[in-house]
Amino acid sequence: MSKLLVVDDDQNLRLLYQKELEAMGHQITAAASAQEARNCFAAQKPELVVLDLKLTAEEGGLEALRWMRDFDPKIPIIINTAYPAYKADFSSWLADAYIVKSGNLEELKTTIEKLLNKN
Amino acid sequence: MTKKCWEELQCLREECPVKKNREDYCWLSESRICVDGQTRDIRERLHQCCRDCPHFQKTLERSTGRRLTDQVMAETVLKLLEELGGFHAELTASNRQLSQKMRELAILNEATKALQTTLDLEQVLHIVLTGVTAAQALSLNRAFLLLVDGDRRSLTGKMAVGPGGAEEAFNIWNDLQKSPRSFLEMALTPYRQVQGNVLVTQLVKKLSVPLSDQQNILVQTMNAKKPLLVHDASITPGAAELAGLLKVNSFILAPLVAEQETLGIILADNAVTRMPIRSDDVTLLEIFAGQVSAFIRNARLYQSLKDKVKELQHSQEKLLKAERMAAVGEMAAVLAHEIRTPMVSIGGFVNSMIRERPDDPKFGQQLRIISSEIDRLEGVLTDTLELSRFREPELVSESINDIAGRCLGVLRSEFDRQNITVEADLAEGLAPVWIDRHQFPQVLLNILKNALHAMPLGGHLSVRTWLDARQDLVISISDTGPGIKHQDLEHVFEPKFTTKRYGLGIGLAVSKKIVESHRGSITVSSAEGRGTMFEIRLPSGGQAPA
Repeated sequence: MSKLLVVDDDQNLRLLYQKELEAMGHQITAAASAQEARNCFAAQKPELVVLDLKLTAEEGGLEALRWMRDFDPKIPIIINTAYPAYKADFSSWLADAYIVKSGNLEELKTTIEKLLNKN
Repeated sequence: MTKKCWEELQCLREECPVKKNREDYCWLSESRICVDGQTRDIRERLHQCCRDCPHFQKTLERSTGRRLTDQVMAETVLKLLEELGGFHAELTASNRQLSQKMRELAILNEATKALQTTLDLEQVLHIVLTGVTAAQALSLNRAFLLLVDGDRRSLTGKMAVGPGGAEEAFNIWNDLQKSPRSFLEMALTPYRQVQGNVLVTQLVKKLSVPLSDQQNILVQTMNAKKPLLVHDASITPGAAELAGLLKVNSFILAPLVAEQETLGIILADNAVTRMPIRSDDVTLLEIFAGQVSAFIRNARLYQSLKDKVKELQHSQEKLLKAERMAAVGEMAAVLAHEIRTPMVSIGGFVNSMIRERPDDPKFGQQLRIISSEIDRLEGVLTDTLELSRFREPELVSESINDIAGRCLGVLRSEFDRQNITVEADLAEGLAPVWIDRHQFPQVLLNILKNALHAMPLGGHLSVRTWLDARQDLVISISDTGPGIKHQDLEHVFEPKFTTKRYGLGIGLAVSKKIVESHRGSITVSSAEGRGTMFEIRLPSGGQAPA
């Protein structure tokens, strides 16, 4: 069992990911914004982050990615986004994986397992 | 006593033959040259001396009624008539020459008028060369025109006019006899509509000389800025090679100079009639070349201006297109998020329900249908987004075998993990192809990933490259997966066709668009239960497509 942090501004998707990832046996903390994620990061010390890119206007996913990486260079971070285009942005390379959101969560689940096992 | 001429002239030379015969009249003397060396042509004598000579006048005055004087008068008139006859012949010849010159000047005038009607370089060159070869004008058999290239490094043959040989010349002249055409009609006929000129055109296209080659007779003549008549190429330094190519021994070169700038050179010869080129032809060609040079320069400037305008227009179009695409891209991105997010919710929760109750008898099948349709919608959305972001390929010359090898390398571990054997049969010595080094590998990766997904439990993958009969480059990728159903085959490249894609692949719709933007084609063949093969054809080698 691992502690995962899921950051997504959509309430339904937070619910979905929490349900599905808990069914895999993980402990899930869900954050709706980069600010919430910052609080959870410090308090929960997650072992892996699933990070949406479009968050609130105050702080986007790429900015959050940067401070997460500063905080913990080794923590696995998966970008999980509706936008394919950000893969060309160098900043996204700080993440360990880039997944385009899908109703089929197999790829997300497989990637989470792979990164956790690697760690 | 009336003095004789020599007395009037005070020419008292004893040797003078007329002096001895006091009955002879000096203006009738056959001797035209006095012993003291003075030429005394009767015209000149009559003009300058005899008219004012009192002896001549008195002799003529005594003519009426005097037989002797009549005889003298008759002989005088006969002599005058002879001289006048000769004078007339000379005058007639001069008149003929003058008429010819007037006609040639008229043609130069017409050529100038024709040149004023167009700024099209091809047409200007044609008018110039017609001026050199037309029977009504300079009437040389063949004319070749070479121009200095824009970078001023070489002199290159651009156009030629003239018959390929005696038979063609005869046919042309015969046609002109039957249906005479004016110089203007011939000159203003668009060059591409003119029949013939095939052989001379082939010859002129072979002519290309670097301007640094100072030994070359064309370059030397251009630098001298004066025409050169080569009577005998075998003894003229630097002329032999050119003469050999043109198969003539004599030709004329006239540089084209406008405002001190040398634009090129006209070369003309009488290869068909073999008539010697006269010095008059040289003079006339020099005048002609001088007159037409300014027109050629203006046409080239105009051409250069047109090219620049076209370039600017092209850049502007690209900029506008990029702006439009950026706007579309932005809109598409917003739409993608607004559509994808709820779809992920719907699909995710349905899959969650299926996971929790995989064999639900009441809702199981319906849930699976919903899940499958959401998958399909996601595919459509991804493909549509990709298509909306499509950019024109930026082509570079690459080895297709290298690209295929790199793509196989990227997925090597995946093939090994799924127990897929890979066979690469890449033809050696293939010429490079023009491809976008970012877009095209994506096409191959997409097809290879499709093959991966089609063989989750192992299989065989074959990648081949070769040149087909039409010299197109062919890449084929075939797998031993389950194949594509016959009714789905024709929809494979449509955006709404479902493909399972993991990670950031591109759909087959985008793959097809990329291949077609490379002027290629992509096809698929498949047999259910036996596998699928994709074939991509690309034009190979040669110059980069415009």
